Amino acid sequence: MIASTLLVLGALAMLSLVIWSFAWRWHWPGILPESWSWRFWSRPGAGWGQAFVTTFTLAVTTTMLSLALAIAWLEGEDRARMARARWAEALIYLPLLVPQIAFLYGLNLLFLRAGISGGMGAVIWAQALFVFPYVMIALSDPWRALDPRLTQAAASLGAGPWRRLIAVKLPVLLAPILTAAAIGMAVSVAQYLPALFMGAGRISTLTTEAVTLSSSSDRRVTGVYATLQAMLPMLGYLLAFLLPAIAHRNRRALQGGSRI
Amino acid sequence: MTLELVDLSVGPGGTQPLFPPLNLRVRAGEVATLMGPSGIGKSTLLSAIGGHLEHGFTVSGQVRLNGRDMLVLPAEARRIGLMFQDAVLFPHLSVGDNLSFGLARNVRGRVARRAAVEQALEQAGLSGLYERDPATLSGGQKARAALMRTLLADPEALLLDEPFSKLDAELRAEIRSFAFAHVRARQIPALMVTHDPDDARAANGQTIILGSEGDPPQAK
Repeated sequence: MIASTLLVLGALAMLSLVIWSFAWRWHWPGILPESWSWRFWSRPGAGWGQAFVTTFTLAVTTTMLSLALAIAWLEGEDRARMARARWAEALIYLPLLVPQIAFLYGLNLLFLRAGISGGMGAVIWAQALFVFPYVMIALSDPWRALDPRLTQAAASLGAGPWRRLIAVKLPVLLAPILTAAAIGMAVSVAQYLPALFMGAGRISTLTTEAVTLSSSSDRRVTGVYATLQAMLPMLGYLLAFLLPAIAHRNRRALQGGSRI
Repeated sequence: MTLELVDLSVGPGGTQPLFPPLNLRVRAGEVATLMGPSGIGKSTLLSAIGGHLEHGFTVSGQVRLNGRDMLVLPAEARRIGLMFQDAVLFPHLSVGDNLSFGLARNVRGRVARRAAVEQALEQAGLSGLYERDPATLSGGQKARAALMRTLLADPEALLLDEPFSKLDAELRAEIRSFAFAHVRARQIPALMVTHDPDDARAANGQTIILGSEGDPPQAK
């Protein structure tokens, strides 16, 4: 009940953003705008085009990086046949627990001294610190829940560790891997401080712009940015839902979450 | 071909082995049966022989297959087939692709590989099911597909971990004779863990009872 109420409220807020982005004249207390306009959407050159490309690039790069790292970590645990050490588990959560502002301030100083502040590389690095833990948390449980007999069967059929990973584990875990990637994208898109600090103010993302614009008077422009900002993660979740459904359309055991 | 276990014992590292050292020699075409109470380490023993032990277990003694030491090899190099309670077919592959997963590399070319798999499917009464989703097969069909998948990899020994226990009585006898017939036809040694005395009788090989509390393993 509470969940569905929140969902409806969220959807309404989203809808109002979309309406604002198409509004031209809208006087109080009208329920809908009196006139409509495409003008804010039709000019990507006004800024949102560049911000969209930057945000998208950051999200895809950071997520791919974090996903590769998470898979390497989990596969490393499998190959060593060892469980994760408690300190390592704590280390994953650390960036999520320490206040971002304190954490990033120090990182920023370090980057400035090293002379690598202000570029995309620095922002990707800082974002990955927050994206990786979410990807890791999202992927760890499904990875461990994979029936170990599948890889044992593959090994007994002569498949070495790489073939077991590529031909068995990754395809069977396609849905959780894409879900983890979608969560990573969403976290990356929402990052404000890493882009602001590490980008030295020179890198504009949809989020940094939306925050700046939210205090301005023009809700139409804010509506454009906020709509795009919400759309990117939704696109990620949509793909995470659709791709496995298409790839495994004839594989019943991989559809309902049931195993073999 | 022979599978030999010499003074083999397995246990969690640093503690007592799960069972006293085991000596066993399984001849080609023989199905030896391993019985004993639950928790004595029968499945762990099979894992040790197949190379699938978890971290933290130590193995002492020797496993020799056709004279070669197995314990120094990784699982994928041992050529020891493994059958579980469930078929454990790869859920993302078609039935045919499951069978061709372990098909020997010396069967070259798409046509030849497909023909080898089709032939195996026919032997197992699964003709025409190459493209099927393994999840849509019946229990008996899954069991036969799993056995053919294992055999197509051309194993030099076979480990069976309670392979028939989840099948209903009628099917159990059928799949059992199907599996044992293949072991005999291929002349490979097989070691089966089971709780069912009927399995042991049908295997008609040596039966080893892994005892508890320091009883020496006895061969009947």
